[in-house]
Amino acid sequence: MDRKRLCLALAVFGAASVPAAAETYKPARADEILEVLPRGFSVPPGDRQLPPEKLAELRLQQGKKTGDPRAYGEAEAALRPWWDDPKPPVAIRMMRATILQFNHQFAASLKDLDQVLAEAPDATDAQIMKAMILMTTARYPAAQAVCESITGRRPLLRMACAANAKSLAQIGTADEQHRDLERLVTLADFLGSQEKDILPWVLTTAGDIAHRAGDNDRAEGLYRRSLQLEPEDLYTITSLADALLDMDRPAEVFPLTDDRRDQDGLLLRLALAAKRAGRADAQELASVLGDRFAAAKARGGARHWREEAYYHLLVVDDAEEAMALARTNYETQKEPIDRRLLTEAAVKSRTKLEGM
Amino acid sequence: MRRKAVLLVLGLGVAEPALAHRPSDAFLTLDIEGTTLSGELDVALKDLEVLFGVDQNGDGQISWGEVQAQEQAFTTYVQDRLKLQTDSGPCALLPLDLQISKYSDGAYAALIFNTTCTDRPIKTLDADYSLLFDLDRQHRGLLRLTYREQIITTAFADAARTFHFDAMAGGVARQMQTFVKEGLHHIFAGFDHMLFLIALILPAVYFRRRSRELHPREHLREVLWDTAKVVTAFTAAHTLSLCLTTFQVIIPPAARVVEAAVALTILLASLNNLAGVVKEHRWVVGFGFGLIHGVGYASVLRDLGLSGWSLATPLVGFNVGVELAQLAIIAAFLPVAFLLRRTKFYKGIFLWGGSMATGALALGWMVEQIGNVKFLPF
Repeated sequence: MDRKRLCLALAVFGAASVPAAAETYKPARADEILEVLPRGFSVPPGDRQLPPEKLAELRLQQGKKTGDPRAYGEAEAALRPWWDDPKPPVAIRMMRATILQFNHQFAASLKDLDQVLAEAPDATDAQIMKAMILMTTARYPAAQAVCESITGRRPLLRMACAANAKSLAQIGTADEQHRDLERLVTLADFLGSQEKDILPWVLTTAGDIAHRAGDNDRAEGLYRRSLQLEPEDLYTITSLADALLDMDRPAEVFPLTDDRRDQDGLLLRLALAAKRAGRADAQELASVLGDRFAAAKARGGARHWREEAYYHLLVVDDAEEAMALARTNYETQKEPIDRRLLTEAAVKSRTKLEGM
Repeated sequence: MRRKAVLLVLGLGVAEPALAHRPSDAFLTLDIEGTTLSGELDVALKDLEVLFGVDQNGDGQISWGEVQAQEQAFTTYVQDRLKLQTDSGPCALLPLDLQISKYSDGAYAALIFNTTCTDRPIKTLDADYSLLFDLDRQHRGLLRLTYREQIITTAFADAARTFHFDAMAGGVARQMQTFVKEGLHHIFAGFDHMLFLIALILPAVYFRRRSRELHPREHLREVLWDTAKVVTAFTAAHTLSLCLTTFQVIIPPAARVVEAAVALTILLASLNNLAGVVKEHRWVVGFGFGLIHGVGYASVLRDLGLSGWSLATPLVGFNVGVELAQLAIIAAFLPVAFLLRRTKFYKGIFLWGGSMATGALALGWMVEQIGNVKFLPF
């Protein structure tokens, strides 16, 4: 006569559900390797006796290389004494702007960048970051103006920046766009050796311009040239994967992404390619990716709406959810790809878009 | 510096840089079971590296031995940074074991712990979480709290380090709802009470005179009236004894004695159906048996971790649930029984066969309870 206990799933009050561990266990051997750390992963506790600005700078450099949010979070923690200071020193303010931008707090980042430029009008790095934020938030004329104001003897940088802004604004006919692209690539070939540090970025940007103009072949060539110079650049790898998917060559995405599953953006492209190519582990990849998004949702804070929308639209075929996410994405990001996402989601979910 | 800074900016690719890796998350599970609070805290090995420099030999790999070497430091750190407190006072964390949890983004150190909060039922919980924020401002502590059927989740952040939980929150209506369901479930899922009810009302469609023979009743309202008397008496009795036991006016004997007594009531009811010893005023018997069943219900409420005066709503809710379940069973059974009462089918299979079956079961249960053995499949 056992009194059976009720298991009412009265999951009240809950926010999102927290992802569960796959398994909890006690390792048997002391020499069992549990985790492999990326190179330069962290500053060992013993070395952390640096002045906080130095530590922040170190972590930001690491963050730029790997895109690891932990590095940015640590930089932010190091800058805690200045975080709410309305008038920090310029170098610190620039670092703060970088972290804010990484966390997608674009308005706050712009505010800091404007202050930096007020005190140091020739700060190229601030100009570029400002231009990029303006491009992301679809303020193209303003972005173009900032690009053209880039001082110093950096004609290639100036041109690439301005060309990118124009391409995003989709100004000009297809022919004009192609001409602009040619001009940029020619300039890159000529001046690349002088502005070597930015050549990979210029090539990737040119690739973006070609991709937007619908010339995927050209885009692929440019991305691959960029990767020859900087093989680990995540943004370029992601963009190349997108171009390959657009050209319906999913199998070629695998070598780019198979060893880089740590990066959520690349995992998305891998899952998409696996699905299109009918790879055996497509389902498993999709569910790992789903876990990542669920985890991000559970944390609160910034979410990667564009990626999540594409996941729902193309990997799990949930057009309704994709539509909602695409809309939310469009509130902060308005690049052509975001508009395209919105349209694709609207078509698949049979929604009417008003006044976009 | 200029050139390097430019590179720093350009490499960002404003589009979606933050997707590269998972940011720093820790997972805290807390379970409140009646009077105990226990749980588990999973912290990423990557975060342990930031905290303690786990990779002692600098080979870029973290081994189990290296994690174990930091067990004390990790435990102390958690005890310092995670503060738990109930309405009875602060709870010290008692580490039970250190294990490894595998998540999709890597391995985590899992600290499994108990707490010193074990004296009284837990009504409120306050948690203060301040791990890792001073080293990584974007760290999050993801909490999953289970309290009976409720699952509550929240995320601790640098700007949100506290969490408050109130077991009695959610208002009277929600509590009532919970316990009505518990009462319903207790009857439907608990064979014993259902069986007793059925045994009690099986013969309702008949009456006996002196001869102990069963004569079918003519009118439905006689049937209903008879049933109503018995069931109402039963209900009044179990409500009374449930309240008295819950508020500890009656101290019940050991659980097995109570269960055996409940089984006995079923046995006697079944035998009476067969032998017809008690013919009229079955409601008196219903009342007496109800008193016993009520004591049984009280132990259910006690099992659910409740006692004392905070029980008004749960008690009412539970009782209502029990009544609703009883009514449902009667409403389902009685009309059919009435229609079939003249048939040999009903008399033979239901009344005789049914009563024998419930009697046998009840006997078996009694033996199990008294002898503390188990041989029945349910």
